[in-house]
Amino acid sequence: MKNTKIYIIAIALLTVLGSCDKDFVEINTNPYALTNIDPGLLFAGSQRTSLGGWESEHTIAQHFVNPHNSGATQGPNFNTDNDNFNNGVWDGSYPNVIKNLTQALFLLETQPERVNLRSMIRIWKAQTFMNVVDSYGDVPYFNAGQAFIKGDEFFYPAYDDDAAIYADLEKELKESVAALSATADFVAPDLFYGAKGSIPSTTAAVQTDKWKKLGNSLLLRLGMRYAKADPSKAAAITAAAFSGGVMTSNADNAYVKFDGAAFTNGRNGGLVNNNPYFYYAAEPFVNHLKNTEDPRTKFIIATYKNPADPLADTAPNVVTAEQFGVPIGILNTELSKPAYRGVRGGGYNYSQMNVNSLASLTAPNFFVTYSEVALMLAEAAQRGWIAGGAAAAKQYYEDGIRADIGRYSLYPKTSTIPESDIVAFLAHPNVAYNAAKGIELINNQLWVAYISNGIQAFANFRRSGFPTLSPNKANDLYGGGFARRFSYPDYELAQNNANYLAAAAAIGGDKMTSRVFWDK
Amino acid sequence: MQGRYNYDFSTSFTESNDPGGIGTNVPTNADGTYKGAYNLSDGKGTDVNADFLVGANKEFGKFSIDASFGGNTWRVKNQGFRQNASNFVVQNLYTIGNGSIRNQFYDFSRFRVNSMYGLAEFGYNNMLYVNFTARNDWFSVLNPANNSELYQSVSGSFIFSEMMGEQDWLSYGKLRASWAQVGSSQGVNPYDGLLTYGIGQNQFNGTSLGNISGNTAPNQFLKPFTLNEKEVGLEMKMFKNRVGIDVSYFHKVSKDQVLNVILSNTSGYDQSKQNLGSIQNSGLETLLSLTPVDNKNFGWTTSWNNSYLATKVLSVGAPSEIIVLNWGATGNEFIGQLRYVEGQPMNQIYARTYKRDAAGNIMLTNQGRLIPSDNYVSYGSALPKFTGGWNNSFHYKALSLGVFFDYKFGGKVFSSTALNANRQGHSKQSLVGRREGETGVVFPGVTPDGKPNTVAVNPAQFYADYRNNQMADIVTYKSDFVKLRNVSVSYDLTSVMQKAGALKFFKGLTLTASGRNLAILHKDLQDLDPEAVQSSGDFRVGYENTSLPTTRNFVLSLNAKF
Repeated sequence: MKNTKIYIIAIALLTVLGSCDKDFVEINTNPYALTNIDPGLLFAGSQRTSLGGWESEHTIAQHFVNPHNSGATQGPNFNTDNDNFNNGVWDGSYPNVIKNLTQALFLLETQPERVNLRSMIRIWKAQTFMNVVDSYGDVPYFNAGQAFIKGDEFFYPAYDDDAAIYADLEKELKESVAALSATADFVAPDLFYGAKGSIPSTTAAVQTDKWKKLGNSLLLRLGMRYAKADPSKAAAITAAAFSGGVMTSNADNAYVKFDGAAFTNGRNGGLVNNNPYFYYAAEPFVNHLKNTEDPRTKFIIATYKNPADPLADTAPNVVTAEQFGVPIGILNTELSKPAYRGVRGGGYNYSQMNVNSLASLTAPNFFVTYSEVALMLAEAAQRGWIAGGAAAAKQYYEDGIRADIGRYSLYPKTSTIPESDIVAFLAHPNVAYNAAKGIELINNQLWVAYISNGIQAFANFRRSGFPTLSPNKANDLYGGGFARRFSYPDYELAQNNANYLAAAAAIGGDKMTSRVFWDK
Repeated sequence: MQGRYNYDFSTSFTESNDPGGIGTNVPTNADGTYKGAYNLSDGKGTDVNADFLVGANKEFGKFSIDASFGGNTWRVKNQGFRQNASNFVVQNLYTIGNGSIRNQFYDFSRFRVNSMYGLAEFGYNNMLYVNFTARNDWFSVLNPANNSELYQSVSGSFIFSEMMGEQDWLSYGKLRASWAQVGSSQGVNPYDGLLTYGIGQNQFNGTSLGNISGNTAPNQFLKPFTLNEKEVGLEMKMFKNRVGIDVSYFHKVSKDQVLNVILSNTSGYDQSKQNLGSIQNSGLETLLSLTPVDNKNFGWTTSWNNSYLATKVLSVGAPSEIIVLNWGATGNEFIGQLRYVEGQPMNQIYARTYKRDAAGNIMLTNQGRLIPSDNYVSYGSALPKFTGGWNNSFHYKALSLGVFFDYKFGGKVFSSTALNANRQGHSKQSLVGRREGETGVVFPGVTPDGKPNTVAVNPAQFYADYRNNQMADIVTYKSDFVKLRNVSVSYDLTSVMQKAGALKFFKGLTLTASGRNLAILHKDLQDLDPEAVQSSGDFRVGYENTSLPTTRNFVLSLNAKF
């Protein structure tokens, strides 16, 4: 009897033991999770990359300034190295864009027929990395974004040399443009030229034609960067980009629009939501607009009755001659004294960014435009890198200005600028093209065009040395000069310690005055 | 023979409004709709725990055996709907129908743990006992190739006072020892090993946007973690129970603990769950109780308990340090990182410090401002080494008095309140630079030319540099304290009640007045209570931020028995 009981228990035991982890695979599978996705959607989710911030790039390029210096607002406006303002491009690139594009390319390895999607992803990834290198110098590139795909050896990527990254970006752009095929896949989710894009198309032929122009325009931008460091290389790359075919009109622009409901222009949120009385247009920029009597001024800056509440003023003063910018490096408490223009309403008696048009929550974001392409071609022609000399330079210069003026029709609350005003502007003594001052005139116009793209404003200012600006004399933390890069995020020192220290040593110290390789 | 089945069912329903006027003076969004949001969530969960146990016991003369065998299954399932609506068409009407943007979510998760175990206890003469246990767990959340774990333990106790017969000085003495292994899948959540994607709830101008969900790189090779613990203890009651001693020593080594390792975000991901190396905790716990006076009318007992804890990180996966918590991780720490460092106690707090020259002088810029060190340095361990208390109770006839002190020593803390109070001028430390005759902070250091600093810096700017440069030198404190925790006085009115005729039905009546958190007798943390930290959880000890003053409590109570 006792034996039978033991046998029964033993048998029960064995049956239970054998099934102890039965069904576990099914239990540990989430029946409602998306475990696979069309890489085209990952691409669409990654197209809206960072364009830089008002208090970072635009402040260094002296478009914009916040004259307050109360600890947390201390950044490039007072020559300070503050993570709050340095990390924008880094945080906006690695954690989402580069991660998702890398994963999309990984998923496409099993879908080799989608050559166009693969090329577009490679082009856009190159664009993103170019912005990261321009902002920080040596950065992780070859080993970036692969923690999941390749595992724990890639948890702490090494930093790569900026010149080497640029060489690879050049190769990536050339190869992916060459791989675009008018007879292969049509990428519907593309936010620029896809089925519901800002400039929609329906066939692969039309779409790949636009992407070829976009890719070559990025190659042109990349080539122009070498102007100081290696002019012969700059000449070779710009000539290759031009002959490959760059953008030819505003109908080729890569931009996105915001509906104002679920999606608003994140760059401009701070200007209206967080203490608008902090934010003003900078004096060098406003003076340039006034000295050239620029017809775009009324869309770019405005004087509001109460700087603390710009949206409440539906009819601000937009007369060009009556705008005034806050001087660089002057503390806000000085602005209320007689030497300056004093207070008005809840802020100071100066112009602010026009939050109804250029800086509106529904303003579009332009990533690559025909206006910048034409101006870059003007400089290339002036330097003899492409054919045509000064005459072609003047033509491209004027085309670029016209295109940039035309771009404003896409901003809210703007009106068409009459042709007579444009002609008068092009003939203005401070604007009219002359070959002797050609490079300066072209880059001054790029500076105005890049009011919508902070990363390019900062990069082109460093590359060309124009416009002629005076450094911020508030203190000598930048050694009496300008910031030449942003410093690496503080958390990289902690999380990626060995590689961070090696990179800091390689670039001559993780300071804002160290230079990116092309910034000689 | 025993079987049990336990079924828990829970539901929750919550709805909330985000009022449209918070943090803005404009009631509308850019598209003309009204601000505000409405949130709804409806969830339910079931938790089933069933087990069986089969046992037998037998006695053979002075020996006894008690053995049993059992199994357990634990099954948990949770699911819920969440909805929210925003961008309202009609102002101030908080409902789903009014939202022009609506998002829906469905959450689902479940897991199961199956276990089998056996226990056996052998006894001799009611004096010596030895226990053996063995248990095997199977976890559904782990990779099927590695989801089962077997643990054993053995423990014994020896009541040696039985062997010594009647002794005047020793009435009870027990020696015990044990070695045990415990394991769990703690830290691994259902579905952790899989990369999942998300598609945006709202289309961008008609195009769906996709992305990878979350920023944790999934690890499908997680193992359960195990803990090996050894413990030895001695308990004695002596001198007619007037003196009691209880001492125990324990030594725990944990292996393969599942923690979120912080990655460089250039890898695309912020963190990943990994089985770390091993961590050792050892300690000595003592309890000493004395009854010095025990008369008919007056008595006094006192007891002191102390625990000494030493931790050490034995090894972690490459690289050799792991950041457990980082700056800004929860949004409220303004300085410092928490790290596990091989060979050091757990929870090292790290921040930058003054940059010093070869001779050890503090280096400043030629405008008298701080220069941070190149690298982060350790300021010590955040965990306290000694924790304990001293309890006294006195009684005189019907009156009793209890007085209780407690203490903690040995940990360090970064005070974010001090960091911000300094740069805003609210702390005593920040007075340096603003006192009579001063025009600014002249910090004792050397300027780049090697000469002593004479430049006065605006105090707000000077103290803000500690925060912008992440330097913790003037905001690091010991988290030590000694507190008068509790004083209570009570008066036993039972005998009084018994004498009053009408109130004889009261079998007991006691009036007590007590106060809690009465005084901080010693502390190092400036201006604040060292206990008012955000949480005492392992991963947060070492940070003080935005803590509120603690309160004293006074209680008057009447306890009656009928």
